[in-house]
Amino acid sequence: MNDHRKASEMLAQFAAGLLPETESAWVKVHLRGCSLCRSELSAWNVLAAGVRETREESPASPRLADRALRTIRIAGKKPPAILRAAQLLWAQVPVVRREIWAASALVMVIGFAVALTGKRAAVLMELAPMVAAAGIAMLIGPQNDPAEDLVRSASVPQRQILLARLALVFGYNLFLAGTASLGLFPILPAEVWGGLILGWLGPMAFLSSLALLFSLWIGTSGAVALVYTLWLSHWALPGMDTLFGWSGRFPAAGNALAAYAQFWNSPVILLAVSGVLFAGVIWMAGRAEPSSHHALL
Amino acid sequence: MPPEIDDLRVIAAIARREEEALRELHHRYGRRMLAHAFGILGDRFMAEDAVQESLIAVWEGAPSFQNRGRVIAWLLEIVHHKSIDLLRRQRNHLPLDDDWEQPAVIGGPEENARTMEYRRIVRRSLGELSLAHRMTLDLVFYQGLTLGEAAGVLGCPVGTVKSRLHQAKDHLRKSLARAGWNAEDLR
Repeated sequence: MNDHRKASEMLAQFAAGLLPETESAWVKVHLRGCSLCRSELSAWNVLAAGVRETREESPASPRLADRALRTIRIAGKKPPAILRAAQLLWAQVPVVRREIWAASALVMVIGFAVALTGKRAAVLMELAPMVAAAGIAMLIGPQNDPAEDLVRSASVPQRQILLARLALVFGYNLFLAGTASLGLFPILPAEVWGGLILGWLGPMAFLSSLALLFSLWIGTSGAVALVYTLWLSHWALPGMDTLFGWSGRFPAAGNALAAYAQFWNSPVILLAVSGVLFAGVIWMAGRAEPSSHHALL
Repeated sequence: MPPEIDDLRVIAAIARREEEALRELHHRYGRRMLAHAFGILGDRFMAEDAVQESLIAVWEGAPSFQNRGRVIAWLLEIVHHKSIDLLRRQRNHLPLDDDWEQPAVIGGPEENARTMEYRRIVRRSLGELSLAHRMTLDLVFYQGLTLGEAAGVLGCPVGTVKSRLHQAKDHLRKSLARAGWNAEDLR
């Protein structure tokens, strides 16, 4: 590298006052004999002066350090995670639509009474998933959440809020269905009791996860209508098959209907699929939030 | 805390959870942190929020700060990230604010209209640059970071810092030339 090129590359740092003394002295010597570099340096100097001028300092408020320390002290007194989770859950109770609690309980009490008096435990298996799905479809969205604007600007991440509400409403429905199942103990042989629980648990989780997903796209009413149609289809389709004889005429349709029925009767598959769907929706909720830096520059 | 205690000792004191040390650090560098945040955010209140969040990050990060270069470069890196985060949250990126561009500070009664016009062109030329270019200029010419330190703050190679500086200088020269000036006119 010749002297001119070397000096030229150092001029920006020279104008910024960043060069060590020896290099700075060398540049000064070069400048005396190089008009091109002197002209370049003038441009750098104008640039540097312009930057300093537009960045004229405004005094930093001394309160900023105190404010930061206050926040640090408050954070230091943060309760344990389990307590914070309980606080978050409790904070969601008034935000979730109030009618969910009473309506779910009422429908489950009626279903339980029908199942007990008619000695038909299957009523619970049909009803519990529908009640839970309706509640979950009402979890999010402007029509369901009067505090949505506040939630969006709150410091709690939206993922955590959604998770808390999900746990609250799904847990409530689990409790209702579990209690109703316990209440049927007198009329059920002990060996089918586990089957009853799994009979509503898998579809309840699957329909709830679908309801949550659909409610994001088409709102609460559309989501409820869709998941109910899907749920009713699992017992309506075999009846229609018998009526119209589809399986006899089209073997492929018969296979598809059998696989569909098998799907609804496989609690493990239903629970696994709903786990994936729940995780996906919660991930999507987090994506809506802005995060970190760099890519902007 | 006596002023002769150097920055590293201030950071060590913060790591020992001495609140006075955080105040001292802010006393030393608060203005420069605020100026950098303002350069990105264009809003005084948001810039203060960014500095406050940065001080909290310094408190949390001080125990793991082990001779990672100059303290000011580390501070500006934190401020930079916090400001970009805030900017993303706001979703609206503001250009250099005229309120912040103080009126001429090196002028006096003898300053004539021609000089004012010259400086107006310089300011406008800087305002036309991208945020990335302005931040690079700010770190080098205002904050006094080395090219390597500036690259660290911006998260880009040193070569990018150099090319941004040259692009900014060329842009300024063209702006001056269009108005019939050259950089030597006020030298």
